[in-house]
Amino acid sequence: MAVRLKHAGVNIEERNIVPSIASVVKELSKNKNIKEVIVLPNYSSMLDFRKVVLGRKIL
Amino acid sequence: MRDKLKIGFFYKEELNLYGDNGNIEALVYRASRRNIQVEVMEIDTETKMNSSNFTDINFIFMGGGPDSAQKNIYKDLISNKKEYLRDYIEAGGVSLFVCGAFQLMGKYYLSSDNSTLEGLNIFSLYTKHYGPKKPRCIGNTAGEISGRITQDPVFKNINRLDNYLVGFENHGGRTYLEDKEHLLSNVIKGHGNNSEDNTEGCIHLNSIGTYYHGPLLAKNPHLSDYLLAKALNTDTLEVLEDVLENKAHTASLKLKE
Repeated sequence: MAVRLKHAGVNIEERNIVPSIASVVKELSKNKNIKEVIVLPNYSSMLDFRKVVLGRKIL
Repeated sequence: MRDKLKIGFFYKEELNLYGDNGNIEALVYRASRRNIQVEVMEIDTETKMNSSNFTDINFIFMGGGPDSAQKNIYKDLISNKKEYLRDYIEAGGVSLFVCGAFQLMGKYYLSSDNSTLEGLNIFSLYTKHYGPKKPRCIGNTAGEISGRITQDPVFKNINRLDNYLVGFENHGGRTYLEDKEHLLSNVIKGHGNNSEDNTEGCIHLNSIGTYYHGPLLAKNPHLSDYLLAKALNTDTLEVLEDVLENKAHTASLKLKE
């Protein structure tokens, strides 16, 4: 996703790129000020994200 | 060296599964960063290929789509685009065909009910669907690039990454090359063309077919630059900062199937 955004002209700082979905969820859950998170996954990462958040890939 | 990249983007609206248009974005980005002039010509079912506008195209792309979309473009492809594509490819034109488009470049597609769909008969391959009981080929995939590319002096000059391709595949049809020497890559991870013979994709002259979505060229900057160099008829390209692209590629190599 970072590469696609780069090609679209959006500069993503490398320190803001977390390669593991589980790590992202863990980091976000530590911050109690975050009330809403927008997820823009591609197909394969959508399945992985569901698994981390809901415990299963397919609903 | 040609000073312009002119892309013929076939059926952009219909054949854009898994963000396959990202292949065009990647090529446009890499050419533009090098101050190479780029023009993208969208070619759809309404486009007549008899204009002189199409004679200087030096890269063609066609992606994959759902069955319904492929049915929508099929008649036009066979009736109105076949001759142009054959002439372009056989003359050494550079092109990339993904998934459904890859299958259509072959001789035929044999469905599980034994009905046959004629292909463009440009690539020496055929595709067979065994029916719903045979699992689809889905997942992350990786392969070692054919020596036909890695031994090409252009690739040797351009490549600053490795000799692997990474991507994501999702196809029900199994494709069989008539000559396995024409594979694009040897399967390291995933199903490849057919889950059987460790081949993935196809190389025919300067054209490539593959099942790799991803998009392929975003995650494989070395292949992007190889195709770009071939299209521009050069063996050198300015080196780009590819930290993110290389990380995405390397991380994809480590993904589970």
